[in-house]
Amino acid sequence: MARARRLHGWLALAVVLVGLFSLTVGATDVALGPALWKLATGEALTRMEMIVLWDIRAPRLVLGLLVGAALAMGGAVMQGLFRNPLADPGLVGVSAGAGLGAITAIVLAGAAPAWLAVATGDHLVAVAAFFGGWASTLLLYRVSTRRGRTSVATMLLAGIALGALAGALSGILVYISDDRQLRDLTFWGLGSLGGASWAKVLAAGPIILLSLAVASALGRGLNGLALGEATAGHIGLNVQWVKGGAILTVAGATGAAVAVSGGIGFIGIVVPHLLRLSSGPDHRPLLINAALLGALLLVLADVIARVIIAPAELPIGIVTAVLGAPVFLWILLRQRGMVDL
Amino acid sequence: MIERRALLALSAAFCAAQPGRAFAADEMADVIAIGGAVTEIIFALGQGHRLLARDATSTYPAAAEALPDVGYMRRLSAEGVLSFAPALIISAEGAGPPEVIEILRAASVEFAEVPEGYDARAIVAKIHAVGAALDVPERAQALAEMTQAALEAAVAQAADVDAAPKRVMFVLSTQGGRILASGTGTGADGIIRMAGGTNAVSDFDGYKPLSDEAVSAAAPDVILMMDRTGDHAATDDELFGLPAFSATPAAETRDVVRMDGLFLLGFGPRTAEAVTALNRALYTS
Amino acid sequence: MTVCVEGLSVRYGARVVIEDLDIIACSGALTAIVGPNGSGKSTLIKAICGDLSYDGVVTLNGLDVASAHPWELASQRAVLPQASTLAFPFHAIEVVRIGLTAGTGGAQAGRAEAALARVELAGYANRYYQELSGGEQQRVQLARVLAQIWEPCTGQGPRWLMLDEPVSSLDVAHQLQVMSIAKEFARGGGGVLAVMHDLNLTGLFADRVVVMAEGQVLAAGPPEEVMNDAVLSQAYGCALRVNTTPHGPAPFVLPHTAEAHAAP
Repeated sequence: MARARRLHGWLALAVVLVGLFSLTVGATDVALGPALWKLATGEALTRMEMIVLWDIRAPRLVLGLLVGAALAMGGAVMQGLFRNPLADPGLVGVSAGAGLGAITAIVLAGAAPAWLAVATGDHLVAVAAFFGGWASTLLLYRVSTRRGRTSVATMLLAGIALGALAGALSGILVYISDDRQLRDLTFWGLGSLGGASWAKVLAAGPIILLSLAVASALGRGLNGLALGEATAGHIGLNVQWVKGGAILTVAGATGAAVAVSGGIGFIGIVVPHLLRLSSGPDHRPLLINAALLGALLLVLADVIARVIIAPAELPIGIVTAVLGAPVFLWILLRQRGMVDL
Repeated sequence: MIERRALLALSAAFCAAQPGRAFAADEMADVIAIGGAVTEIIFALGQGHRLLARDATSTYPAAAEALPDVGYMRRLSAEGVLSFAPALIISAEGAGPPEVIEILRAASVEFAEVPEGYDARAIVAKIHAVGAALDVPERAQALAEMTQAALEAAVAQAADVDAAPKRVMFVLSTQGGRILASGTGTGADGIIRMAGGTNAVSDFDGYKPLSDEAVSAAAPDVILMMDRTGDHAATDDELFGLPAFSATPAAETRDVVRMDGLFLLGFGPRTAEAVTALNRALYTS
Repeated sequence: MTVCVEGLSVRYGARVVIEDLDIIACSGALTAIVGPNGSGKSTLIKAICGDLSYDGVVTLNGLDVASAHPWELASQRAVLPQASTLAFPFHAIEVVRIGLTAGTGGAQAGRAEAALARVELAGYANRYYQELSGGEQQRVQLARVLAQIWEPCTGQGPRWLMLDEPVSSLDVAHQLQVMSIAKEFARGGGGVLAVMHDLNLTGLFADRVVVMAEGQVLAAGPPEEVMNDAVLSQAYGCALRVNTTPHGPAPFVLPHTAEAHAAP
């Protein structure tokens, strides 16, 4: 517990350092240090420095922090809610719905009414992904809630059914898509922070921050749920509030994250696992630590994604999967036999 | 034929005259080319020395392949592009993502989009568009005239075949035994028709997976594929071993044509050659 | 103060498990609920804990269980479930502390440790819960329950310990230990409601016994009165002979003396 709390400070420090690092590396030779020195001495920045630092790297860093925190905390909350260390936000239909929304927007953008294009600007895909994620989550929530009680087991099963349905609808859209749309779909599924802009930060930021704030208060409730729903109620928790809060905040945070960055895997599973191994399963410090470590790792993955094959860049989902999958296997090997899942 | 030879000579002259970037002291390299055909046209216009970088699809000529690669055109990296400090990006239709294009415009990088198209007129339009963007309209005019003449000659020659037109099926991939074939409105459809063939699949637009029965029903005489390695590659045995193809006329004659993707589908300065090459491959076997 | 159940009916779908049942349990006493499998005793304690929807009225210290907030109930009673699973690898001490999160006021510092010591697991604080034996896990859960309602009686009245088969996975020494803890809680002014399988421990520790059969109360009262041949034989459907030890009035039942399926 104390160890987990000490971790807050170290992780926060690491986030700051990695953040500064990500501001200073990139395909151009613009660096943070000289620019700050210029600012300090009152010298004007070049146009190139302004654009690279302020319009490219800074929004990308902020978006990376937000998305990483949202995905990791979303994963931790879902694992607590489903009492299963393998759960991720995909289980409440966010991913399936967001994916369907994005695919619909990519394939049918040409057929969309003009006012829609005007209203969403260049962000039709992001907006569609966000609403797709929310709509499917609310639908699942409705299906699995009877007389004010949400059945987590029903939700899991309904989530599988809804995922299959979304997959089938996506398949139909894939069928009618052309070659270029198909490539867009593939790249969307691999995720990227490449389109980061302040507009996206402003759109997704408040939703993610609000969801993170609510989620960070769920620690006590998720600890109680670890003992089972009945016991959680016996120790005085309003279990329905915990469940509803968990589902809605995860839908908000990951829905917004997926909308602006596409499908980025493994952060939501690996980060909470690493933290449970290193500092225990208590959700109160875990949720905060997950947000910090998720932000840290995603920004680091993004730095790798954009410098490793510069001037081109890798989809970040490839980086997180390449780094995350082996770590995940290692965790499973280490845990084998130790904890009966 | 004469025009074509002249075109080749012209291109060769341009190429010879530009050993490297150092050549043109009056013109700094400040252009990034996005799209295989665009890059080819830039080189054909003798402006290759003005290029800083190119996208992943720009693999011809060899000099282009030697340039730095800024990645896939739909997923450009703002900083990656800016790291070359370009003044101009000449791009095929659909470069993105939009946020990146916006940033590049804000960084006063000019952006010229070249319309796509799959016939002779489209190629000429591309050449004019690239020429205008590079501010070499006279050269573009000359190249366009020669290209058009070469294309007309190639198409006329291709049409002048005694045999009945062959039914050609362009297969993009056979991954997992699933046949992804070209319908109408694609580069493959365009080149097949220009080369004097008939597209065996005309029921739909674009590339779609075909059922085994639909492949049989299309009854292609020839299978046309891109010549490449990796998961799209399939040997003749593998190809005709697929149930989908076993009942086609192409399987009987084991008639499959493989050509370089950019050469075949690029719709640039080399398309006249591609038409002739494909026509020859279809009808002289 | 009491746990008061009036006209309680519980249905699982179309099946009626408990019908029109009334019981009263008083604080300061250990009330055992016994009965054969399927008699509805676990369902009864679940209804009293507020886990089920039911018809009728259940009050706990005058508080209506159906409409009370979870935290109101949690400050007045703690529940030891029949079986517990734990989703993540918590340490034993952390499991006990989760019981404290209800925040029932008072000085809670050191209480989790004291609760573990109470169930004789003081040295197990930093052991993983999943690595403990079944009996040790059950005692950790008991420690959690005790930590939640540490003082049997506060200024607001008595508190309640709800135990659903608390000794089923324990050896005989720990059975006696757990029952003694429950008894002590009752002596301290708290109320204890325990669903019991073991008639001998019931005879030894219960102040009051409720015998259930087929969703009804067959008999209720002090063990010496209720635990007799006729009642138990009828409840369990086999002829049972009740005896007493020379040391006291506590009745005991030996399976050896039963005539299987020869019920009256």
